[in-house]
Amino acid sequence: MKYLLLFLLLACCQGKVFAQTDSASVNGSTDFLFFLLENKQLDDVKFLGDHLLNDKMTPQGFRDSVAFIIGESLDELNNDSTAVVYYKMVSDESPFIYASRLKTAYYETGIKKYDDAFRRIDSLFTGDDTLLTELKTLQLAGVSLLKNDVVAFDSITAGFMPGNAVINNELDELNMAALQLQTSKRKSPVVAGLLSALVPGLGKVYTGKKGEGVSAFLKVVPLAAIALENYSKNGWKDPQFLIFTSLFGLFYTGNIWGSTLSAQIVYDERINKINHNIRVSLSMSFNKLFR
Amino acid sequence: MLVLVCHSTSCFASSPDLALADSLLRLGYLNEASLKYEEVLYENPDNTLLKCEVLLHKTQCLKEQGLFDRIVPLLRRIPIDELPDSLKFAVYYEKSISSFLTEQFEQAEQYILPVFNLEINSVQYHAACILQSLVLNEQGRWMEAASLLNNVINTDTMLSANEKSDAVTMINELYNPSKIPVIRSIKKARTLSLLFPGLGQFYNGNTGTGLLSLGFVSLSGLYIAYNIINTTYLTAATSGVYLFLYFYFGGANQSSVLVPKKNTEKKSAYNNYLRKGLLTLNSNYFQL
Repeated sequence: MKYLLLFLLLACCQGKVFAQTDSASVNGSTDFLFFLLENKQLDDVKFLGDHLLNDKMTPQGFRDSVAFIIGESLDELNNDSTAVVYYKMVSDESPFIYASRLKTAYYETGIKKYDDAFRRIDSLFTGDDTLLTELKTLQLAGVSLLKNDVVAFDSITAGFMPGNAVINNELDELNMAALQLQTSKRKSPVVAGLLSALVPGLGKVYTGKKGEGVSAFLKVVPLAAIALENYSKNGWKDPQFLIFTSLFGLFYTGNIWGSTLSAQIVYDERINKINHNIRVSLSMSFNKLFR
Repeated sequence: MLVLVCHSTSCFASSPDLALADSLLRLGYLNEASLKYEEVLYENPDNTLLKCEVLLHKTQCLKEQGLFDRIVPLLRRIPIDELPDSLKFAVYYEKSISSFLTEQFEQAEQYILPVFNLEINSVQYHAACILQSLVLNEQGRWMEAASLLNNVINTDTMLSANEKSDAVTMINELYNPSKIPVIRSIKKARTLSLLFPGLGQFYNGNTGTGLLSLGFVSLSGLYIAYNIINTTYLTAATSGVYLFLYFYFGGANQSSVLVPKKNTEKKSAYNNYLRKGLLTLNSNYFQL
């Protein structure tokens, strides 16, 4: 009997907390969710939002708002992958569709799904809205650059003169990134390897890693000199000769292999830096405009 | 104990929704309670006193979930300047204790110090003093903590002369200088290791590591000598000197890791002892 009463009390409490989910009640109001979001009560947003989404009585328009707000709160918590799940729930009819779709596309560029991101942005209907059209064009241009497709970038931005200052500024950044991509060329791994075989460390200097090249030289050459000294004084059976020869062989071949890899690593680092700047421009544009 | 002090001081106006939220909290429905508290705030945006009460209650939800790091940001929503002293105390106290629990001791001190400029009752004063002494202990400022506690006992009008004498004896025993851990200096340990390999480790009490460091440096020296005797001077000058310098400076640089580690261990053990002692002191003389 005692447990039955306790159960009834709990049921009443639960019922009162989530009394109604229509937009008239506090829990069912977008304003309340935004209130929670503004006050950074992100766990509360998620908890209430999930409850509202699971409720079949929640109307579609409100469901879109809830999904978007949960996405925003998860985005605030840097939980991008889960945020995207909620952004994708926002329907095409919602006013939050532009922000949701651009944020989803931005996330996809982070996991290198450039084609998906491009298609997602391209399918956005902007109608006669100049600002949204400019934003869409900028985003498409940025994703093209991330795909390393400078030709597509040029064709998208040909004659593109944004009226909005934020978009114009980010377009300048993208143009600069496009120029950097065009001038970035990968050094030859074969040449790097051969140079390191001739002079230890020279291949790394050639690929742009001067410090590593000097360091490799200062490791490999003394090892060779020590091995040579021990061979000339004590012959090939000397333990020190055997140890230092082995070490020399290891470091020498390792340095050649490292130099060949270094060509690709240096190139990747440069491209990643440019891509990072492109993604910053993309996020800056929609974050500033949607704020 | 300290948490209860804070809440026992609250005597605010209530609302039915707040009572419901409190019930949910007591029943362990933490997410529901947390949301209900926010609902009360949303529906009463201009009531500062209610806001203070609700947010202080909401901290309990976070404490139950062990989310102490979220308490200070939550309480920042309270416009503290608009509150009476009793409520200011409650907010500062919660902020300080949360900072203490998240091991942000400087922040904990920053939050507890303003409390002493407020008009508070003796229970609140005792609670604040105990919390501050705990914070001082964690910062290694044991003599300041002892002096604070002695001052609390001596100025307490509720205690008899005998009780005061016993309490002071207990405090002096807890903070007996022979029990206070000697905090070693990183700089001194490093200098000693540079003067003689392993000496810095011995000074810090790491005898095994010191012997190991001395052994490696000695072996490197022997290796150089062996190569000089065998006229392999290049080997001596390069690999020998490299190994010697590596172990010599490596041993000295170890101080920056070993000394803080040992100091933390000693401080932690002593502070655990003090915490138990302060609990006994509290139950015997303050009963907070």
